Amino acid sequence: MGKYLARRILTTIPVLVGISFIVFALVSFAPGDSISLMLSNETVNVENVAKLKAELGLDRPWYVQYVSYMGKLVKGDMGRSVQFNRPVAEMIGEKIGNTFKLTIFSCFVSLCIAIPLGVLAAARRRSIFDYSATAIALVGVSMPSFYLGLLLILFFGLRLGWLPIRGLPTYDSTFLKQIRYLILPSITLGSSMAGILTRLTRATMIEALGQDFARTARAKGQSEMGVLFKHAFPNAFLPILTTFGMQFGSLLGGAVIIETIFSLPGLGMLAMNAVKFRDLPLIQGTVLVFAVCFVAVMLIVDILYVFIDPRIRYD
Amino acid sequence: MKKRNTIFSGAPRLLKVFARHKLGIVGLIALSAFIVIAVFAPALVRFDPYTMDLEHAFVPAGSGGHLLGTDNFGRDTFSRLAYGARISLLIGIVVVTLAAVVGTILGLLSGYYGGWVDFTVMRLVEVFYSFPFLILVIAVMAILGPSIFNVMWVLGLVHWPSYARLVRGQVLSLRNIEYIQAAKTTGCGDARIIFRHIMPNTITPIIVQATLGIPGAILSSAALGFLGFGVQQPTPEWGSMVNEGKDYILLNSDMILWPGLCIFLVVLSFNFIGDALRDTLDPRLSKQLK
Repeated sequence: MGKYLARRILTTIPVLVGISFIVFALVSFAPGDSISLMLSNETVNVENVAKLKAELGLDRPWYVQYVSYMGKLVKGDMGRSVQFNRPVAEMIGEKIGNTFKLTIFSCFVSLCIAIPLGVLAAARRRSIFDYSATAIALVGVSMPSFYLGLLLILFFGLRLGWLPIRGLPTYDSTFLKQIRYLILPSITLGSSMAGILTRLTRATMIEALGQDFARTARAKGQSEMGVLFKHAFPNAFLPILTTFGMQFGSLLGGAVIIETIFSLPGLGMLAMNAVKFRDLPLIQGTVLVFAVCFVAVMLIVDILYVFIDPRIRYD
Repeated sequence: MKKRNTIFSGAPRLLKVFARHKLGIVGLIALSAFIVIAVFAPALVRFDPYTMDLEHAFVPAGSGGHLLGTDNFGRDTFSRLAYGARISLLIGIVVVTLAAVVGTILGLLSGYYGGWVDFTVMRLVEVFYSFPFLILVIAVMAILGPSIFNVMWVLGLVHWPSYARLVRGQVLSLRNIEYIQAAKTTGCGDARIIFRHIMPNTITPIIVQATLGIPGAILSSAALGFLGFGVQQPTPEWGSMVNEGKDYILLNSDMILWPGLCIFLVVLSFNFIGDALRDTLDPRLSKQLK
C-alpha cells in the first residue's frame, strides 16, 4: 500500500513539471505582438515594449526564463498582474474560495442526481425510470452549459423570480442564503457530469447485478435492496469514482463559462478578465492553479482507491 | 476475382444491426437534415445572413418572410442559423480528424516501440489530460488571437491524447499476437507492420471514439464562440449568436433560444449515432448492457 501511494505521488512530479512548462511556454513563446497588445494604444512604442519585456524578464533566453520562473513559483511567487499591479498569488487566493464552493456544490448536485437515478434505472430495466434516466443523461451530455444556464436564468430567475441569478452574497451571510445563490449555477455546471455519471452508474450497476456474487446474495435470501446497495453498488462504485475524477477537469473548465454567465467572482471570472486584458502573468497564474487543482483531485481519487478497494492495498 | 477481406466487408450485416437502434436512426435523420441545410444554405435561404436591416430588427417569427424572425441588427435568423451549421459541422469534423490523426500516429509509435518513446508520449498524454482543456484553449486563443483556423487546430491539439491512449492499448494487445510475429519473421519492416497489420485492427474503436468526439468538439467550439474567443462576429456561429442574444434575453429570448437549440440538436444527434455505432461495432459491450 505504501509502495502504491509513493509511486502514485511520485508520478505527479513529471506531470507538474510538464504543466509548469506549458504554462510558461504560453507566454514565453507567444508571438511578439502579444506584448504590445498589453499596452494601451497611446503607450505602444519600441521603448515601452522593451521596458515591459525586461520587466517580465522576456528579454532573456527561454531556459534562463524558465529556471527563474520555476524558482519563483516554488516560493509561491507567480509574478504581478500587469492590469492591477498586484501579486497574482494574492488575487487568486481571494477568488479561489468561490470557485471551490461552486465546484463542490455542483459535484454534490450531479452525484445526487446521477447515483439514485442510475441505480434505479439498473434495478428496474425498461421501466419508466430506465427510460427517463437515459433521456436525462443524453440531454445532460448534449446541452451546451451556457445555453442551459441562460434558460435557467430566463425561467427561474427572470420569469418566475424564484432564485437569484447574479453574484454571490458575502462570506458572512447565512449558509442557506449562499446555497440559494449557488443553486442555478450548480445545476448548470453539474448537468453534464450528472449525465455522464447517470449513464455510467446504470451501466456498471447492470454489469454488477449480472455477476455471480449478486446471484449468490439473492440465493442466500438477501433482500433486493441489500443486493443493490450492499453487493452491487460497492463494485460499481470504483469506475464511477474514476470517471468522477476525470470529469472534474471539465467541471473546472466549465466554471469559466458558468462564472461568467452568473457573474460569480471566482477563479474562472478572474481568468476571463486576465484573458480580455491580455494580462499575461495573471493568465499564467490562473491556468496553472486550475491545472494543479485538477491534478490534486486526480491524486485524491487514486488515494481513495486504496481505502475503498482492498485489492490494490495488497498488491 | 478473389474477394478481398477489408474492414468494409461486414458492412451489410453491420447496417442491419445499426438499423435496430431507433435512436441511432433518429440521429442519422436529424443530422442529415442539418447537413443538407448546411450544404445548400445559399439556395435555401431568402435573406443574406450578413445584411443588416435596422428597420426590421426583432421581427417575430413568420412575419415579413422571416421564417424565424430577425436579430437585433435585423439580420434573418434562419439564414444565420443555416450558415452557422456549416461552421459548427466543419469545426467538429476538422477538430476530430486532426486529433484522431495525431493521436493515432503517436499511439501507434508509443505502443509499438515502447521504451523511451512510450514513456515520453505517455507523460505528454498525462500532462495534456491534467489541464482543464477549455481553460488552456482560452489562454492560447487569447495569446494567438481568435479565428476559425486557430479554433480548429488548438481544439484538435488538445483532444489527441484520448486517441493516443486508445490506440496504444490496442497495439499493446496486438503486438505479440502470432500474425504480427509471422509478419516480422517474413521480414516485414516496422512501417509495414504498423500500417498494414496493426492499424487496420485499431480503426473500429477509433471510428467510434471519433463519432463520440465530434459533439464534444462542437460543444467546445460553441463555448469558445459564446465566450468571445472563437469564431468572430459577424460570422454566424451558433455559440457567438447565443452570446449576442444574451443581452436581449428579456426583450427577445428567441435570439438565444434558436441557436442554442441548434447546438443541442446537432450534438444530440451525434451522440445518438455514436451510441448506436458503438453498440454495432462492439457487440460484446452491447450484449452486456441489453
